[in-house]
Amino acid sequence: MVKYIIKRIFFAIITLFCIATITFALMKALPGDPFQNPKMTTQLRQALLQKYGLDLPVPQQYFKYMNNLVHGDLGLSYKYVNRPVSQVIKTSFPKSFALGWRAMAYSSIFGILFGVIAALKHQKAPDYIIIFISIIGVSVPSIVMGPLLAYYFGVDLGWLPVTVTDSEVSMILPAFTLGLGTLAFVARLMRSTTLEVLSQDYIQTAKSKGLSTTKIVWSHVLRNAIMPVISILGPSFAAIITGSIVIENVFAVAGLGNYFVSTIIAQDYSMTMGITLFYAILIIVSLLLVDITYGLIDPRLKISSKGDE
Amino acid sequence: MTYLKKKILEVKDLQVSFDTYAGEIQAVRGISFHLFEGETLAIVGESGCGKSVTAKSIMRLNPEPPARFKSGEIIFNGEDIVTKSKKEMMEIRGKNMGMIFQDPMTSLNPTMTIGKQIVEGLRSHKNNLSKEETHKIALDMLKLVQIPNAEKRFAEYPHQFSGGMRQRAMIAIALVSNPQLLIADEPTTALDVTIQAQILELMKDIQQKINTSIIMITHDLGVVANISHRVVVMYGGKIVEYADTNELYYNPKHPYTWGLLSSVPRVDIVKTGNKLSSIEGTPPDLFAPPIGCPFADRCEYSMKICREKMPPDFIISEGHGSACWLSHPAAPKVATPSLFIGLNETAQKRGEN
Amino acid sequence: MDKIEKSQFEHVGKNLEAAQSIKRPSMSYLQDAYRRLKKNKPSIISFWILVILIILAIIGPMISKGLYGHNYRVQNLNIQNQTFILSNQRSLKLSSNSVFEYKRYKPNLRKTELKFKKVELKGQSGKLGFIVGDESEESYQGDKKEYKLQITTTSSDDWDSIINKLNVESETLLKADPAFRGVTFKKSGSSLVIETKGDKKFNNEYWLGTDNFGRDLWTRLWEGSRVSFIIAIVSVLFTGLFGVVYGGISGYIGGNSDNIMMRIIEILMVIPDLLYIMLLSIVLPRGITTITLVLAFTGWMGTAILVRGEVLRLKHSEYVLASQTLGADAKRVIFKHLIPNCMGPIIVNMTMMIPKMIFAEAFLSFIGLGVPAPYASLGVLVNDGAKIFYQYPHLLIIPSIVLCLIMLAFNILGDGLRDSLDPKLRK
Repeated sequence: MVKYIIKRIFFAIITLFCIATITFALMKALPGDPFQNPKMTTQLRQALLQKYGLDLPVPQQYFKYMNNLVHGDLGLSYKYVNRPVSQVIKTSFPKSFALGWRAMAYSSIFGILFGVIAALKHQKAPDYIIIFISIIGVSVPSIVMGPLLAYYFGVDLGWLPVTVTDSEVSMILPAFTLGLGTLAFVARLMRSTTLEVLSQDYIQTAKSKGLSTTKIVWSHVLRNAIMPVISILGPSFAAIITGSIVIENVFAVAGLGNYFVSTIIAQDYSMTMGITLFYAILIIVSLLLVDITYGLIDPRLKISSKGDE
Repeated sequence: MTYLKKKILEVKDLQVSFDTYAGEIQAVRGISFHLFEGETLAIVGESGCGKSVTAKSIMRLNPEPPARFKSGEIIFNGEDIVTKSKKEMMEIRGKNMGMIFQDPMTSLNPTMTIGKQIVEGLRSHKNNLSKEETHKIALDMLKLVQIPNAEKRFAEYPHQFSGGMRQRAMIAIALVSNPQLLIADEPTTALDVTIQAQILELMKDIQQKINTSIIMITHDLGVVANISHRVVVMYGGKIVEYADTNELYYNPKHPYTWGLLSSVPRVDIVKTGNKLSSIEGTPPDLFAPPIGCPFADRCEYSMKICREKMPPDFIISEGHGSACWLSHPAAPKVATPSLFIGLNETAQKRGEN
Repeated sequence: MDKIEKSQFEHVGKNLEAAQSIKRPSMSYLQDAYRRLKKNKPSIISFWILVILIILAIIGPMISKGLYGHNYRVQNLNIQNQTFILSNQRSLKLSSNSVFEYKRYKPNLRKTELKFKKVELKGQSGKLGFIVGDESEESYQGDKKEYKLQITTTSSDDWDSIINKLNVESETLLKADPAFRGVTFKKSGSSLVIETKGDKKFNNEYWLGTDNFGRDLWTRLWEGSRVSFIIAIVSVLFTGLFGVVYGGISGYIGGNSDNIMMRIIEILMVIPDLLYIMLLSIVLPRGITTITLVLAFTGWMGTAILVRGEVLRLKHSEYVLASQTLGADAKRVIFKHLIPNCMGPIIVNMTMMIPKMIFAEAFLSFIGLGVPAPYASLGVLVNDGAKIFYQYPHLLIIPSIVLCLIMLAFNILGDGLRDSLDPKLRK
């Protein structure tokens, strides 16, 4: 198992390295630098360029870039002096995270729950309802779902607030919309893995021991059916991150996603790349964590070092 | 030697069907047999003859839609299994009846330790055992099924066991609560021959120690000869012949049994033309089973009446019956194929009889 | 035992034909898959829905062009934001109010109805006024008229009398204009509802209404569907092409080259799609080709892995060995023998990718990197509609329905294809 974990970490580091390099290369391909302000004198410009090392030959810039990265410096905005990317992230990311983890939590828990229920009541009413919900969740994008839900629950019925503040209640709609796609996907996957597990022979053995249905589901079905679901939690997290870009716009959240879109419109490309890099790092780290969790849970990986066939 | 034996299980005219989209499959079409305490009964037959369904029906393990008890009784310990509720069955399973299955790899939960899977069986029924006591009993069980290094193996996972050891673990799981009846559904089919022999020896050994009654489902006549006291032969959802094991092997009366016995490859008997013989044809379709004897179309001795009327059980001798019109007193005399006459003589010469 | 006649014991013997009759006809793999697919009702329905949508995408704009000369960019600022069901469209606004307190009120929402929620009378005298219509806007009658409706109340007025006053005022004021049949007021629960009367009729020239620039929605919808379909299908085809070639070669060659190729893909796959999309979209000029390339790039790795898996599985089949013995080179073996035999999973994979591509295109439009204006795509339409959903819902709902139908249909069809092409489920 330790071997497995080390391998995954190593892999993640290589990937991060590749991403940073690609990003750097593309940034250099774009025109511009942070000090385009026409009001600036040439000397000041030169001084600043020198200070930030932007007049050095490209390979040296590369090393400086990588060095900066390791220390958490993701670069500067090209449009607004004195606005480093990392600062922007620090202020706006917490709001995104607040929505993101809630969405992740509810969608995975309920996704698993619904999936198991659908499988246990296969081809009866609850199964069809849950399948229907998952199809909707997968086919209706958040761009559509967001405004719809906001309108009906927020404006028409007035049950829930539409803009996001610090209150828990105000986060219900956006978090719900954000997690809907993941909920649908997880429920569907869980349903099919649970159905598969239920048809396995060891479930029959469990029945022959006289175990009750609850006990069988809890001790035998869940542990085995959940494995594939855990491995998609990583990519689901990535989807929630990208999804937050849309949700933050629809529900007017002052988070990183919203800011991200504005940098594109403003053509502040270095900021865009900086934020993208941050997202990429986030995603890779979460994939790594999921991989590690999987390695800890699956006994076949746990004990692969001990003697067996 | 006759002595008074207690009847553990009595199956009377059991009929089980499956309701599917395409219609009703009559898997078991009226069978009756019984089982005494401490004995092993083998149920033999081809795939699809209904033996697995019968075995599972005793424990009500067939999913109840689509399976349906059309009629009949299964009397276990004086009570009819067919009428029991789900809760009552859960009590009986594991405690009074245990079952082992064909493929030990897929029949064990890959993410749970063997020890836990044994203990689970104990803890699911009401008893006043503490955690330590259940642990000890489970450990003793592992030792009983002759798994070496039991303490270490207790905390291991199925994928760390070999095939034979897994099957032993299954036996431990099934017998941990000391059930009166053990149903074995083709337990040796997935194992190689040497391991097969070991498992059968183990089962006989345990039977002597704790007096379990065993129902052995198999299609392998070698296994039958090795372990069972009595045999029931099934075909097309019905019992075609039943007898004590020795009697069946040396004095079979049903053409299907003849076919089965003659298709066993034997080194000591030279067959005509040195060919492996097999029974031509395939078992009947249980959607629309024939009205007469199910074996008629494949039987070279079949007669007009065979296709028109289902043959009743003809008693050949005590404990030996054959459902075949050839056993009717008015039927033409058919000589048992030479194979067995020779067998009998050879056996007598060797003094086995 | 009952008596049995002698003749019954007549010897008959075996009847192997009956014993061996196989009850089902044998079928080839494709025939069986096709039969199973046909039985799957949701898949068949999805298939026909897609056919209808594609046909509409092709001929829809042609129809409206022929009839009315619409295309996706003609603007008619006089008729902005009309819906497809016109009903005496006039805007409705509150102009002066000292008579009641209300909780919620949606101005100009659909121009047929105005609702005030949780209304309570203040119980004093005051003025209550509404404006019906808007001089600056052309209504469907083709006029630009505005009517002011005002009443005064006294402290003794209750709801019934106020409503009565309002209705009377409305009648007299608007009697002069026969084309405009007036406004009715009524109380519904704790809400005050104001409706413009009149027949509802379908918008003749603009079948689905117009958007905020006065462009015909029907035309833009189907032009947009065309673009979305093309982007999705072409990018999936490219994905298939790259994926099949890469995966096929990697799987066939095996050994170290395969290992290296797979490592490369693993790293490429872990990198989030977002990064690719951003990188490529920023550097390349905006347009349909860029989008297609970008989307294709995010998908080919999955296909490659799938194809490689299939090739590995089939590599050691007998027909491959036979072909190689006869001297076929690698290219021939891969493309003539291996690939055709794993078309099943490849087709399923490609079908399921199409909705992902359509969704990705919508996402690109959202962040501003999609199809440039004034071209339309479903993503563009949905995004534009989402912006003014509260006021003109039809601009979001109609494109959304088409978008969701396409995604739904492809998803269900893909599911059905997967089930029917899976040899393990062969009945």
